[in-house]
Amino acid sequence: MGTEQLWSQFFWLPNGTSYWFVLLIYLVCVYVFVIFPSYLFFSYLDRKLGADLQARVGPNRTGPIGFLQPLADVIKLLQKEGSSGAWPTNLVLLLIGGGALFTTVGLLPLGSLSPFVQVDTAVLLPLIAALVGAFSLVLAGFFGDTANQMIGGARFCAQSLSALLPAITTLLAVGIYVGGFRWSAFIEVQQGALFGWSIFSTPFHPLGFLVFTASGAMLFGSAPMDGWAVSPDLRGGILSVVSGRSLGLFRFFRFYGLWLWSLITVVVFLGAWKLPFGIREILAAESLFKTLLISELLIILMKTFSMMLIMSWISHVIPRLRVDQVTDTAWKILTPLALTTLIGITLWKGVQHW
Amino acid sequence: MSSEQDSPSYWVIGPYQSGLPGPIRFCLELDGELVVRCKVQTGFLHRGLEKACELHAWDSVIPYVDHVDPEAAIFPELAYCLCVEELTQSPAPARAQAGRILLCELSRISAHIANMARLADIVELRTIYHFLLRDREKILDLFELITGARFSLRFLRPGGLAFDVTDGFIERVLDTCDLIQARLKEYNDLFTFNHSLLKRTSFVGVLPQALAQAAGVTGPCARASGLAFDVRRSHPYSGYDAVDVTVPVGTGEFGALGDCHDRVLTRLREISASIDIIKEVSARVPGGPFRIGDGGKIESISSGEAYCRVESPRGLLGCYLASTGKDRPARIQFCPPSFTLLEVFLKMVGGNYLSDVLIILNSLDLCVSEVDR
Repeated sequence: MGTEQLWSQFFWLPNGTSYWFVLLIYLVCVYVFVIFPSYLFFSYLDRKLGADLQARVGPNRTGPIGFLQPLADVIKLLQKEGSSGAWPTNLVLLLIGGGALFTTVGLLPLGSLSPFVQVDTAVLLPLIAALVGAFSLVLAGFFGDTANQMIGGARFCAQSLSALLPAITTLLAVGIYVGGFRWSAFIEVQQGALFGWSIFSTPFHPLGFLVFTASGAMLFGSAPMDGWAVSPDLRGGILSVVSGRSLGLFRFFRFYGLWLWSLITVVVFLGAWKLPFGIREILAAESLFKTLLISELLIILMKTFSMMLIMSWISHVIPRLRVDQVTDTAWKILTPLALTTLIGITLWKGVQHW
Repeated sequence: MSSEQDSPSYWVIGPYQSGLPGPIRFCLELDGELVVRCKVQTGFLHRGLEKACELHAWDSVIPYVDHVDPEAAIFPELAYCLCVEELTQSPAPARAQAGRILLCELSRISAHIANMARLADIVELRTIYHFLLRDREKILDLFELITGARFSLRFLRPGGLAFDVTDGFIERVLDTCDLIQARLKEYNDLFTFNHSLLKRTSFVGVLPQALAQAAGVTGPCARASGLAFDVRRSHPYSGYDAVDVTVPVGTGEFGALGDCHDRVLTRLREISASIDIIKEVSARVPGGPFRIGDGGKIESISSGEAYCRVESPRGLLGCYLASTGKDRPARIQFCPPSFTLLEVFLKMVGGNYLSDVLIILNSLDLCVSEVDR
C-alpha cells in the first residue's frame, strides 16, 4: 500500500480521493494536532522548568496545574493590536518568516509513513527554511526605522552568518557517511536501541552533534545568544516594535524554528522515530498502522522536547553572551570542529570501504 | 580610515530603562558597537533634598536623609546622627553603637546582594537573580522585625536608636548570617566563577588605580583597584574601633586589576567580612540604655558645624552639618560616593562595547538618588 492510500485510510477518506486533498488534510492535521499543541506543551514545560530552577512556582492558575496558561496567552495576544508604526517589521517577519514555516511542513519527518513529500535533499530543505527565517529577522532589523532595530539586525546578521558554515559542514559530513540527504538514508542506518543511534557510529559523530546543536542555537539566536533582542542596552532590539498579535505569531515562528532544528538533530543523530525491541515489525505485521504512526510520532516528539528542554536548561544558567563572543565561538571553535568532523567522517568512511 | 569619521552614530540609554540604577540619561557616541565617548544628563531624580532638610526640626530630618540612598538608608541616617552628636557633644551609648553596627553591616550585605542581582538581571541570568533576591528578603525581614520598615528604616536618632532591639533579634540575625554564608558558595558556583560571566566581566571596565586615586573613588570600587582604604578602619566611628574589620582588596586574579569581575569579587568578600563583623558584635552586645535621654524633640543645638563620614556600601559618605542655634539645621550637605563614580564612569566607558556599558555602570554600583539628591 502506498503512502497516499495509507494516509487516506488514516483520515477515513473514501478510496480514490485525490492526492492534493489528502495532502491538504495531512498538512492541516500536522498543524492542528502536532505543531500547535507542541508549541503550547513546550511553552508550559519551559516555563515550569524555568520556575523550578529559579525557586518560583510558575504558571499554576489556568487549567489543571496551570496547563492551559500558554493557550490563554495565545488567545490574549491574538486579541491585541500591534503598534501602528511596526508594519514593515511585521510584514517582513510574517511574510518571509511565515513563508519559511509553510514550506517545510510537508517535509517534516514525523514517522515512518511521513513525510508526505519525499525529496532527495530533504535534510537540507528545513535548513534552508531556517536560513530564510533568520534572513527575515535580519531584514526586519534593517527595515525598522529605529536605531535599536538596526543594531539588533546587524547583530543577528553577524551571528547567523557565522553559525551557518559549521551547521552546513556538519550536515555535509553526516550526509557523506550515510550516502545521501533523504530522510530514509538517515533512518535506515539507525536502530531503536541507544547504541544503534547515529551519534555512536563513529568517534566524530558526537562532535558533529555538539557542533550542529550549538550552531543551530546561534543561527536562531536563542538564549543565551540573543544579543539581537536584549532589553538592557537595545531596548528590545529587532523586537522593540513587535507587539500584540504579531508578537504572538512571532513567538510561534521562533518556537517552530527551534523545534524544527531539534527535530532534524533527532532524525540525523538520535535514532529518529525508531522504536526499540522490534515493536515496529510487530505492529506492521498486525497491520496496526494507526498505533504505529502514533507511537513513532510520540517517540520523536519526546526526543525533540528533551533536546529543547536541555537547551533551555543550559540557557537558564549561562549569562547572555556578547555578539562578538558568539561570532568568535562560531568562527574559531565551531568551524574548526565542524571541519574536523567532516575530514574525520570522510576518512572513516574511506577506510571502511578500502 | 576609521569608520568613526565616516558615520558616528548616537545612542541614548535612559532615562528610564531596565538595567539602569535609576533615572539617568547617557548619550553615547558609537563607532559600530564600540563606545567612543559618553555624556550624561542628570537631574531626573532631583528633589531638593538638602534644602528640604533645612526646613525641618532636628529629629524630623531623619526620614528625609533616608532618601539620599534609599537602598542603604541607614548610612545617611548614621552620618547625620553622628554629625548631630558631634555638635551636641553627646555620643551614642555603647548598646546603640552595637545596634548601629549590626544594622549597617546588614544593610551593606543587602545592598551588595542587590547590586549582584542587578548584574544578573543585565546579563539575563534570571536563576541567580531570583536566588539573590530571595536571600535579600531574609535581611529585609530582619529590618521589618526591628524597625517596622523594609527600606526607609527611620530607625536611628541623634543620641541612639528609636527603639531597643527586640527579644530574639540577635539570634535571628545570626541564623540569617549562617544562611547567607552557606549561600555564598552557591553564588560562586552559579555566578561568580561561571565561565561565561567571567568572559563578560573580566578585562571589562578596568578602573586603573591611578584614576581611582586621582578622582577620589572610595568603597568597593577603589578596593577592587587595589586601594585598601576603608573609613571603618582608617577613621573608625560608632564603635568600629573595637571591631576587627577585614578589608578585601582586588587582585585581578581572573582578569586585570580593577575590572568588573574584581568589583563583583570584592563585594562578595565584603559580604563575608560583614558577616564576621556581625558575629563579633553580636557576641558582646552591651547592656544599658539604647539612647541618650527620652527620645523627645531636640529644641535647639548650639551654633557650630560638624563633618562626619561613614563607609557606605558604595564608598565614603560624608555629611556636613551647620547649626546657627535654631531648632533646625542651617545647612546640611552630603558628599556621596556615587558622584565620583559617575565621573570615572564617563572616563572609563570609551572603547568598550555597547553591550558592556550597563555592566560597567552596574559594577560601579552608582546610586542615582545620591547623585541627584
